[in-house]
Amino acid sequence: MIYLDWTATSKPLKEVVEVYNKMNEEYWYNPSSMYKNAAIVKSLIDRASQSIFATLGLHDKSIYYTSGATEANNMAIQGFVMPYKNQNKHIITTEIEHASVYNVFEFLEKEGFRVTYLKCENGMIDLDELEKALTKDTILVSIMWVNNIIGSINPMKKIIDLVKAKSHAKIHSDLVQGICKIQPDFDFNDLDLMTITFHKIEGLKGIGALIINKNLQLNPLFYGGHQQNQLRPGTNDASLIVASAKAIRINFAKTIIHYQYVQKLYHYLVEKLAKFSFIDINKKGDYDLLDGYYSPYVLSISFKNIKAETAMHFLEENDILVGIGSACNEKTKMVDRSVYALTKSETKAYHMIRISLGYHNTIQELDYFIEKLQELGNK
Amino acid sequence: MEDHILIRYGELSLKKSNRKQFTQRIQNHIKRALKVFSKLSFESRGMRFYIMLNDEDSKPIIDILQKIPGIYSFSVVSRCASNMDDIYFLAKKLVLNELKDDKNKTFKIETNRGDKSFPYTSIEITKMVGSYLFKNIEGLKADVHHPNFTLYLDVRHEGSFLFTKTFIGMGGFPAGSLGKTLLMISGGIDSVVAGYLTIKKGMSVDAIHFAAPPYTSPLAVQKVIDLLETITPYTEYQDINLYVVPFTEIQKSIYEYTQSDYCITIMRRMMYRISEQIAKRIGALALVNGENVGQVASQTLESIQTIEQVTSMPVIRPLAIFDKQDIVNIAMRIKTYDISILPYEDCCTVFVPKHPQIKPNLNYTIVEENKIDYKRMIEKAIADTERIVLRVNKHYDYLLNNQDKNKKQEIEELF
Repeated sequence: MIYLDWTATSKPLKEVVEVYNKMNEEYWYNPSSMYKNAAIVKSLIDRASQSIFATLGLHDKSIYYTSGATEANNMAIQGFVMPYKNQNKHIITTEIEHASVYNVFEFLEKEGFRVTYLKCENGMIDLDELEKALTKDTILVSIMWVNNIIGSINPMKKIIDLVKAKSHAKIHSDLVQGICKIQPDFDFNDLDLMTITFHKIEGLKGIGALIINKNLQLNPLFYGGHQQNQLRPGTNDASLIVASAKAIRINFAKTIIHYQYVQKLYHYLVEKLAKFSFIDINKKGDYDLLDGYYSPYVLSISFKNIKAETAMHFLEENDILVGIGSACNEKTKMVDRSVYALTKSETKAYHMIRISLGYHNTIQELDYFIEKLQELGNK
Repeated sequence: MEDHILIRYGELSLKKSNRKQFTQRIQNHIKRALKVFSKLSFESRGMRFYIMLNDEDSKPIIDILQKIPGIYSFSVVSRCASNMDDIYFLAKKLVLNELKDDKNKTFKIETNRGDKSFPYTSIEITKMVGSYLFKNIEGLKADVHHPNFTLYLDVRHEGSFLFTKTFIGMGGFPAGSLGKTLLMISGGIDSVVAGYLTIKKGMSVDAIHFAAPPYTSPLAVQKVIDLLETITPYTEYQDINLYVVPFTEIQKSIYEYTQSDYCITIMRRMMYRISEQIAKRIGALALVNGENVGQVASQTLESIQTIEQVTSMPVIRPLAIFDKQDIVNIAMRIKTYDISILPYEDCCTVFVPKHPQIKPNLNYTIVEENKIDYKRMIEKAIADTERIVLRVNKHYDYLLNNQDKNKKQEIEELF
């Protein structure tokens, strides 16, 4: 089996699963209880949070564990803007965000907020457009770091500097496809809110996290007990949390090594695929060979005459797994927003498959994939 | 464009004979606290101290400077070339920045011309910059008597230096300059505030806490650690020693053998005795606590007198006559309040009798406490006292550190 869908999820590391199991055997008590056994579990959660802060170089932040990135994005955006409802406030995002951000903005638009969706004609946002969009009423700017479909990388440092210089708006970023994969050009501390998840980086599913400035007030999405500062009530799963700290610690340290290796695979793949006349690579020409604008972990291609699903199943029969659109979108059958934003072509947005690489892939695997793709093209 | 931070010292300017020692101490403290910012350089000129930013971001440095005792105030100074165009440009930028939050702020300009070859006098410079700003910033208002902010201009040969904002420092004396104390800390709102004020005043602080496991939870000790870690950044060496005294045996025998309304009085006397002995061992010159006259039974003047009788050491009570709300306000400001109100029982709350004496009789107290063999128990408690060193930016987890060796290893492997 050749797995080329690492952006959808990854196989958990053995060490991570071991930690999870150990936690469930020994430290399964409710961390909110007052006896010693439980207090240790609470200490382990605190230690995990500090470990995540240390890994990412964060200070003066609070971390809230959620069920995943979708919840963290909702909590960040809804939680921050809802107190400003009916005050004619303005919020900014991009047209290529993951559905768990984009659809929240659509919802908020219906709730009366003024929304600007920044265009991403080159894959990434245009700083001039952002500057023009900022007003004194802008309260939140949410821009993803690395796009999950076309792999474009937003210029986060410039975005942060611009937003801070020109407005009082808070900045949220969905870091899911960047963390442990791309070396950041910015300081995570400069984001007011950030979403991370662990199952994309060889951690476990069922957990994500929202990290925010310590003094920032959010409205909760759920009401319940006093856990997590009452912002995200419910019994914490210490096993998931501690296992997640392990996953991010191991893989964050390898960001550069993995990047350099995957970049080689990516260049190899792009070079071969560029020769196929039956597909288009969904990148803007000017940026094709420039590193730093696109993530080597994600490559989106569109077929000229083959349906994406047909292609996917053909490859599956040949033991190759790729994605079509975002896995989170699979039931909606809609054209992909990110590819459309980039190509302005509905056909391309519909006939798109996503090849996403991991550091476990090899050149041999890619050769086999390219061979099968050629077969498909010849049909 | 931000060039340096100008630091002004606090009340120590009055103490002529010790001035040099004091300023040296603050300078060392500043350098120690800013150690991680490797590009900074420092310069001392008379009663002012300069931190050259050399491209470091000023924001995190401002936060740290506000936690250094003995600094009266400081300003982040921007620099430009000494010509009118550059001065105009920079002045406009700084003024606009001031008006960002409130457009109606009034201002004035104060100019100092160090470079006497500069073609305009300081009065002329003030006028020229003023009229430029009025022309270029709509609705700008001046008020020379009670301005909301002042634009300071210092025109020198090597460049012109401008600033508008003055940050208020902590005030007080250089940390540690007035000697060492031992802080009795419970985990409530008051004692940590007392510790903070003591550090601010220029004394160094070690802390002592009485734990009564298993009646008090290890979380109560952790709470004390978390509180002390909050005030550690204010200390001279960025650390605090905490002594945790095992108090269970003493507390149990008090409750078993002495009259119940005298329990608190006797318990406090035991705490003072132990604190005094530990203070002497570590070279502390005074005890500090958060007692507040009238707040609880053990803090009436009569109680304080009966309790304090066991020690000959000076006892400093920074909060003795504060209103509770004023203490709470400080606790909120230094961010200890939310930790203090966590619901863990400490040894002051766990064994409280229904009707404690508010006017304990000294002779009767002595008769009662002689019913227990406290000298031996105190000796043992001191021998078993645990010392924990708390450091800035390095969280100490009491429970995890108290696991046995194998368990510790097992926990390490989880991370």
